[in-house]
Formats: sequence, structure tokens, C-alpha cells
Amino acid sequence: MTCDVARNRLLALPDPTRPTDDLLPHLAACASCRAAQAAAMRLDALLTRLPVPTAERRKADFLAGLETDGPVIRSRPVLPSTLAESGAFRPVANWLKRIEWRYVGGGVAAAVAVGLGLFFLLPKAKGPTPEQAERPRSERLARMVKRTNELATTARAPHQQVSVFAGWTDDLKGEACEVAKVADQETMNALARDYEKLVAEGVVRQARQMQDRTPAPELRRQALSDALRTLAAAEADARQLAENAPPNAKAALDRIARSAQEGRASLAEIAAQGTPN
Amino acid sequence: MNCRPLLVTAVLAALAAWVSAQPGHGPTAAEMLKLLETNRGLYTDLARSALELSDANTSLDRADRCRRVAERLAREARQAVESEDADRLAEVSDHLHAVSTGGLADNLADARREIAPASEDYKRLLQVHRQAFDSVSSVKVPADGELGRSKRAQAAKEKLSAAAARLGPPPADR
Repeated sequence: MTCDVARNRLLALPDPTRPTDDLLPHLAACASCRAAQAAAMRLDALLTRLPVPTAERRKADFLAGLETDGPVIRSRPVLPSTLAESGAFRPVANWLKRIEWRYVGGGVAAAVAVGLGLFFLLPKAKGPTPEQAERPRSERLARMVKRTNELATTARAPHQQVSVFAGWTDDLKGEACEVAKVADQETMNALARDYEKLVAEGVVRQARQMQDRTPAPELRRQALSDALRTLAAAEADARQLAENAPPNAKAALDRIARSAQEGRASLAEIAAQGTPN
Repeated sequence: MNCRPLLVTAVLAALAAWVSAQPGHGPTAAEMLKLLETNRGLYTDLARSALELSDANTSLDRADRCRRVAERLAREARQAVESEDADRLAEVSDHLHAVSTGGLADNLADARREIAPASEDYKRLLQVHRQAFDSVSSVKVPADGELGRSKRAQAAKEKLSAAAARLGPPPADR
């Protein structure tokens, strides 16, 4: 046994005057440990001389000390019974309070009304359509076919054909004006060529045939008047557009305006020659 | 009574209905140009045919001019079949149907009533009728492949069949 172990055991004893049996051999042989035992005995003797308060007074002093420092927990915490009571939704609730519910209601009512209207008015799709959306079709081609059918069936008389061809030239002029900014010179020239041909060989030629094949002067006059108006409008439109048109389109638009002007002059001449009054 | 919410609702509903009722925008200039380039040859040919048609004075002549228009459209339809272009086939077939069942069929019927059998004109009538029927029947839309799977192409096929049925084969073939 070492001196450290022997001294630690001495300090742990309730009464150092009565060491345990295993300490006795070491104490007998070690003078310094005997001195340590003597110091421990002296310390115990000194401690017993200190004044000790009675048990009642000791308890009263302890409680008074606690109250002097104040309670550690001053108020009893109340745990929320629901998530709503916890206040987590308070910002949302405040936001909802700021909304003008009258206007929201109006908007919802409008959306419902429009939705119902569209649902009942728009044509219903018949099942899924796996194909892509159809490419745009040529409206001009559709009108050409329609006019071809008219010429073959309901517009066989010259005064009717004057109207059909006048409408045809109007389509051409409209298309030329629409594409003038993006079409190349060749395309514009092709449009102007078709326009020139339809005015001369369609409108004016049929107007000349009216003299013999459309006996009613009223019908002749009406057909000429309508065609004159159409050509006058075409001339004005083409001239106006030609002023600011790109170079590739200017010549073609000028040509359309000139064709319309010449067609008008021819129709005026026919009107003067063949239509009474 | 505060009428403001009701008024706002009514104005919004009317505005939304008006906007939804507007027609879709027409083709742009670029789209028109593309259509123009696609159809340029057809436009020129149909314009020439129309001018010729306006000079025709008999039902047989008008039927023959319409037959040429039908033949031109049928050629366009055959090209669409070759290139498996269902949209083009649908567009052109609609027009071919319109001409065949319109000006062509009407004038063939008028010509049959007007022309005496065994005349020279009657032979020509049979020939025009035969050519017209062959033109419309010449567009063969396949039942398989790309066009076979396309609803538009199959709808076009039905239109072409209807047009051929409306014309029918010439009397000598019946």
C-alpha cells in the first residue's frame, strides 16, 4: 500500500482514530502517514467544537433564504391545446382580414358566369384529337373555288360575272397589300400580273358582253357601278401603299393601281356607250 | 344599397364574354406569304380556268371547264398523298368535293338533259364525264401508313368517295 492510498482511506473514514485493519501495517511502518492520521484526528476534534444550529432554526433559515431570492418559476406556463391557439396562423389570419371579400365574391361570380357561358356556347370537342392543330388554309383558294362554282352555276350572265371578277380582283389587291412588306419582287409581280389579267379579261371583258347578253339596263348599270367602286378603291389603296412600300413591292403596287385605273376608264367608257340615262 | 360589387361583377362578366366572343386573329403577313408561295401555281391555273369558264356558253362547255378545275385540284391532292401531307390533302379534297358536286355535277346533269343521245356532243359529254370521274377517282388515299392513321386524311378520303359517287361513272359504263 502506498502513502497516497493510505491517506485517502484515512480521510474517508468516519472516525480516523479507528483505522481499518488493512491500514494498520502501513501506519505502523510509515511515520508520515501516522502524522497525517494525527492531523485528521485533530481536524475532526476542531469541527466538533463549531456551534451547530437546532434543526427547527435550520429549516426556517433555509426557507427564508429561498423566498428572499424569489421563485425560480414565477408564472405557470399554459400549453396550447390546438395548433390554431398556438398563434402559428396569426399572419395568415391578419392577411385574410384585410381582403375585401365583396370584390373577391364578385370576381368569382364573374368567372363562374363566363365559364358557364363558354361551356355552353363553345363547340364541344368530340374526344381526344391526337393529331396536331391543322395548318392554316388559304382563304383565297377557298374563295376562288367558290367563285368558280358561281361562274358555273348561279353567275352565268355577264353582269353577274362582272361582279364575280370584281370581287376576285379585290381579293388579289387585298392580298398584295397584306404581303407587300414581306414578299419578294417576283411574288409581287405575279400578283400584279394576275390582277391585270382579271381586270382586263374578267371585269372589262364581261362588261362589254353585257351590251348584248344582259338586256336589263338596271342590271347593267348596277354591275358597272359596283365594279367601278371596287376598282376605284383598289386604285386608291394601291397608290397609298406604294408610296411607303419597299422597293420590291412598289412597282407591283403601282402596276395594280394602273390596272385598276385603266379598268375604271374602260368601264366608264362602256357605261357611257351602252347604258341609257 | 351598395351596388358597387354587383356593377363590378356585371362589367367583368360582360368584358370577359366580349373578349371570348372575338374571332381568332387571321393569318399574319408571313403566313399569307407562305400560303401564297404554296398555292401560286394553283392560283394562276384556277384564274385562267375561271376566265375560260366565263366564256363558256353551253352546259357541256361549262362542265368541261369545271372538269379541268377538278383535274387540277385532283393533281394537287395526289401530290399531297405522295408527300403524306394530311392537311394539304384535307384542304384540297374539300375544294375538289365542292367543284365536283357543284359546278361540275350540275352542268353534267344539265348537259345530259340538253344533248340528244347518239349526237356528237353526246359522245363528248360521255368523254367529259368519264374524264371527270377518273380525275376524282384517281386520288387514292391509303388506309395504312401516315395517312391511314390521320383522321383528316381519312375524312378527305370519304369526301373524295362522296364526290365520285355524286358524279357516278358515265352512262355507258353503267
